[in-house]
Amino acid sequence: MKKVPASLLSILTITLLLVPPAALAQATATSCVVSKVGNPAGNAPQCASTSVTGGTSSNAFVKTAEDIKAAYDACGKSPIDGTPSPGLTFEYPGLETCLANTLKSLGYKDDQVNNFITRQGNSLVSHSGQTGSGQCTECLGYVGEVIALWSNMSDPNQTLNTLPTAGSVNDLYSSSGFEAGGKHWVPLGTGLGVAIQPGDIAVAGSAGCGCDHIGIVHEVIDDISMNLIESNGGYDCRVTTVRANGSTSARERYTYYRAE
Amino acid sequence: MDDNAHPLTPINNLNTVTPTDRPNFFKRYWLQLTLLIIAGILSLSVIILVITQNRTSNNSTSSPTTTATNIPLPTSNQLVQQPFKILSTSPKDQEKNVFAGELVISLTTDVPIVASSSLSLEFTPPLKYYTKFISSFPTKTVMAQVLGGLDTNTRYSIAAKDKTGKKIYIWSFTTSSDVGQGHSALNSELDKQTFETYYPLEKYFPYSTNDYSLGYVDHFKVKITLKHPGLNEDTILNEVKAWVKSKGVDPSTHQFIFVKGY
Repeated sequence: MKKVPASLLSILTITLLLVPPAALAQATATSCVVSKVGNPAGNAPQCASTSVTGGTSSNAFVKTAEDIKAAYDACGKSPIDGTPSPGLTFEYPGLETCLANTLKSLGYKDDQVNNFITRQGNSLVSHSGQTGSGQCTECLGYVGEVIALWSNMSDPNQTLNTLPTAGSVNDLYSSSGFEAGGKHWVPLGTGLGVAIQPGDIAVAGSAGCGCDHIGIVHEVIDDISMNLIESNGGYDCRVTTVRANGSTSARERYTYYRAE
Repeated sequence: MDDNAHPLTPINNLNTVTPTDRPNFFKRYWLQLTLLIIAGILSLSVIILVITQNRTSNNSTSSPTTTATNIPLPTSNQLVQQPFKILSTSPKDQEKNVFAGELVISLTTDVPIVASSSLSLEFTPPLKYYTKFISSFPTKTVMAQVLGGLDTNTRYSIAAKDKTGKKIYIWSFTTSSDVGQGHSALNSELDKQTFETYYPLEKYFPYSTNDYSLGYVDHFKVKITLKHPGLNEDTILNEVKAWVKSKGVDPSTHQFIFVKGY
């Protein structure tokens, strides 16, 4: 009887000490499950935001935008050289399968996903032009993808598919509005005082100014600021609602459009 | 008890150990003792390991450029910029078909560039907007983002200059006809600058008390929303101005309007 406790104590002590501290920490950490389908290189998957995948938005257009963001977050690989960390790259075989499977897992039907993939394939732009940096969807392409998935239409003649740059929307349609996704998008006006809401399309600048951009209003913060859901394109290839510099968007700099 | 036993002879069944018993003790408990010694050595090793890891992680959080060693690197302020050479660039010299969007220019140097002020890039023709360093310093790989993008089908020459303005290296590349769909990097900066220029208190909003809340409605124009009737506007205005002053902003630069929120 006297030998047993001493032996057990020793063995227990050694066993506990041999377990790496990191393993104990890992065992208590919150896990994150993201599909690795279409990620053949086996890069660590990115956790999609809970609020995004949870579908908390009541606005269907915003919800669609969030779901595409979730798909890009799950299917992008990082990092890209020469981007603010962590940039993502999307140029690898299997990307479309990954995006499609992620969207289907979020409840989208085959024809919706096919329309998204068609639009997505037409919206890739070289990232920064640097060797090996891959391609990503830029801001205008992203908004077009959201419309395609949301409306279940990928008509290549639709307005946003044919414009060269984001600023062209303001140049051509700030008075009359435009057709996209089977809807007429009415111009609401420019700057402060426009009663915006989540789901409105926001466009800054004009073509050729070097200052144009397009995104979807994600959150109206107060009378002067908002958050967009937007593709950073050449910046870091991310679709995001949080900017790398920590800034929100200044409402006064944008012109707004809303689906009738 | 044995009557012949010496009065000072220990009684064995009490397990009292005397020098003469030690060989028997070690013989009987050799396994336990060996295991306890191993456990002790392992415990010491783990304690040393944990202390080492803590020191490393503390160093990592204090400086983004800290390496895996325990010796913290000097900060930019402590370093003096040594003369440097450019070893490589991206885009490369004479490269063609370079994307005309918000390109990231990168260059590697032979010695660390200790601060953004140690190096400048001069574009010919000049940029529509400007570049912004996105690297952490000190670094041997400097990255600068072209905000607002480049012109299409244009041959650009970039001169890298040191702190004194001396040209260290000059290289050229030509852009393609592809233009970016938008300029998100510049827009992020323009939005940020708009808040800093016209809404200096925005970073402190929302601000609210039991009686009122504050928010901007236009450039330098703050809305004071009253929460219930019977409040003295002059008293509240003085209180708000004092609060604005406490944030380092001159209240005279702002206009204040009252709105009934009840």
